[in-house]
Amino acid sequence: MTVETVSAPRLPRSGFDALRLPGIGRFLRWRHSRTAMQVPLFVLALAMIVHGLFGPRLAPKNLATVLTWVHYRGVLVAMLLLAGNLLCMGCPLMLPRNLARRFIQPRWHWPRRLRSKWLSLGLFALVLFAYELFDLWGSPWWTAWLIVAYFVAALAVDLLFKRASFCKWVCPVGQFNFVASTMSPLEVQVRQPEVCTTCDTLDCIRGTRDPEQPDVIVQRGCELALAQPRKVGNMDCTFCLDCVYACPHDNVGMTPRVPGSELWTDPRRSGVGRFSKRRDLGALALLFTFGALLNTFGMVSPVYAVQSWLAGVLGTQREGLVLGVLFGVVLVLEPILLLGLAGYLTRLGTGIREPLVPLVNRFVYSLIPLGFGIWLGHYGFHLLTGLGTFIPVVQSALGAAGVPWLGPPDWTWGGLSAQLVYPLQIGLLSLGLLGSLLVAYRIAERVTAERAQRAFAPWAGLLVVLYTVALWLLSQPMEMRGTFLGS
Amino acid sequence: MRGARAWSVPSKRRPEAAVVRSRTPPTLPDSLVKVSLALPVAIWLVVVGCQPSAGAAPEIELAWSVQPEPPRTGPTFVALTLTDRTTGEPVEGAQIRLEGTMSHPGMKPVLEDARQTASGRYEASIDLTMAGDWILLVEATLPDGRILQRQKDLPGVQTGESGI
Repeated sequence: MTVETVSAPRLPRSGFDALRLPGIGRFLRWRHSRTAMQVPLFVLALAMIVHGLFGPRLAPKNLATVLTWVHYRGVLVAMLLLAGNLLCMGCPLMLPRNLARRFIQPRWHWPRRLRSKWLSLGLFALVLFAYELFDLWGSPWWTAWLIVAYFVAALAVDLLFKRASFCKWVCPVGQFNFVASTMSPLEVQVRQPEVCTTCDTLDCIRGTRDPEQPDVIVQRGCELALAQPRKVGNMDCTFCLDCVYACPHDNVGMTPRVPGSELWTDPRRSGVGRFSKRRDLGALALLFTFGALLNTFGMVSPVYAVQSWLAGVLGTQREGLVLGVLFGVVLVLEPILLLGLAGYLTRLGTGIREPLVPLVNRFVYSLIPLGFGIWLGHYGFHLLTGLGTFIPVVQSALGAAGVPWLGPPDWTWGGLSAQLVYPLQIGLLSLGLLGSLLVAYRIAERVTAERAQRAFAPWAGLLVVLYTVALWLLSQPMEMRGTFLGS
Repeated sequence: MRGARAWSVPSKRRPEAAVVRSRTPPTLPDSLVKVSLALPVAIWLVVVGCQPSAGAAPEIELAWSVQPEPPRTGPTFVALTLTDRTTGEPVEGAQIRLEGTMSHPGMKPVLEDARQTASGRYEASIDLTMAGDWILLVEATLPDGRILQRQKDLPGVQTGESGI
C-alpha cells in the first residue's frame, strides 16, 4: 500500500517509548491492562453512585461530589498535561459495555448524518449548563444520576451501534479529552513509518483475524477508525492501545512529540480528515475555550452581579432563562463577534480573499492551548486546595458501612492554600497563552508566508484579551452558592 | 462532512498468504468478570444496610442565632439554646461541636467547640473563610449520652469582615 507522507511534527527519535519502559511498559503491553485499570475505576464509580444516592446529602461529605468535582477533574487535566488521554484508556464506562458485548453484538453502524462532533458538542454544552443550573457540585444525588446516565448512555449506544460510537460521536467527556490531548506530550504512533509501507493487512484498524477463520477477529483494531500509518496527533484517540496489540509488526509505540504541534499542521488525518475542513471540530475548539472561561466565571462573585442584572433586564427570576441567555452570549455571540473581528482584520491586513468562515476555522485551533491553560488553572485549583478532603469522606463512608478500618473521619484534612496555588494557576495560564501564540503564528505562516505577521496580529490581540479575562477571573476570590439570586 | 468518511472501515479481504499471529480471543479474564458483577451487589447491600439513623433526641429543641445578620466572612458569633420540650427546662452540661462547611466539596470544614455561658445557652465564634453558601452542623452530646444532630443553612455569606 502507499503511505501518504504527512507533515506531523515529531520530536527527533530519542528512543523514548512509554511502552518500552520497565514495569509500566510491560503492564501497558499486557492485553488486559486496560481492563485491569477499568475494574478499580468501575468499583469506585459504583461506590460513588451508591454513596451519592444513599449517603450524606452534604456535598463535602459525599464521595460522589468530592471525587467527581474535586479529584476526578483535576487528575484528568493533570494526566492530559503530563502524559496523554489516560483516563479514556481506563474509562470504567467501557467495562459493562465490553461485558455486554460478549452477549449482545451491535447490529448497526452509527448513522452517517450524525458522524460529526455536533451532537457531542451539544451534549458538552448541556453538561456545562446543567452543572450551573442544578448546582451539580453541591448535589450528591444529581451527581450520582449523572454518572448513571453516562453508564446507561455508553451501554445503550454501543449495544446498538458498532465500534466505539459512544466515544467518537457522543461522549462529552471524551470530546473534552480529545481536544485537550492535542496538548499532551505523548502520542500513540507508528515507530518506524517504513514498516507500514510493507504492511498489507492494516491490522491496526481492521483487527487481527483468526488464521483458520478469517471472518473472526481475535484482536480488535482501532474502534475509532484511526489507521496508524495515517494517524496524526491525538484527536479521537482514546489510548486504548488496541492498535498496539493488533499490529503484527510490533510497530506502534507511545512516543513523545511537541505538545500542541498537531494544531498548526493540516494533513489529512485518518478517521478525522483535515482540521481546516471540519467546522464541527472548530466549534468544539471554541466551546472548549469559551466554556473554560464560562465555567470559571461561574465560580467567582461577579457572576452573581451579572445574573442579577440580567434577571432585572429580562424581568424574570427563572434561573434557566437567565443562564440560557448568559450561555448564549458567552458561547455563541461573543465567539462570533471576537473571532469574526479577528478574521475580518486578518483579511483586511493581508489582502487574503479566503472567505471569512474557512479562514477563522483555520485559526480557531490556536485557542486550544489557552483554553487548556484555563481548565488547568481552574481544575488544578480545586484539586490542590482540596487534595486531602476525600480522606475523611472515605473514612466516614467506610465507618457508616460498618467497616471502620481507617478509623473515625478526620475532617482536618485539607489541601494547599489558595495563595500557594495561585502562582501555579497563573503559570499554567501563561504557558497556555504562549502555546496559543506559537500555534497562531505557525498557522499564520501557513496561511500567508509573506504576510504572516499581519495575519498573526489580530489573533495575538484576541488571545491576549482572552488571557486577560482569564487572569482576572482566576484572581477573583472564589465564591460558591447554590441559591441563585438567593440572598 | 468530509473528515468522517474515513470512519468507514476498509472492506478489503485479507490475502490468504498473510501471516497472522495466533491469539486467544479477546475475552476478559473470568475472575475479573466475577469481581465486576459481585462487587456492585456487595457495595449496595453494605452501604444501604448500614445507614446511620438521623439525629436522635427529638424532644430536645435547639434554637440558633447568628451574628452578624446577614452573615459576612470572618469571625461569626453563634449562640445556641437547648431546651427539653417535655419539661420546658434548659439542657445543661451538653458537649457541643460546631462544624461550618460549604455547599460545595473540596474545602476543609471549620470546627469549633461551643462553651456553656448560661443555663442551656452555648456560644462559639466560627470563622467563615469564604463568601457563598455555608451550612452549620451542630453535634451535641447530651448529659445522658444521646447525640443530637442539627443543621442550619447560612446562604449567601458575603465578603467583608463581620467586625466581631
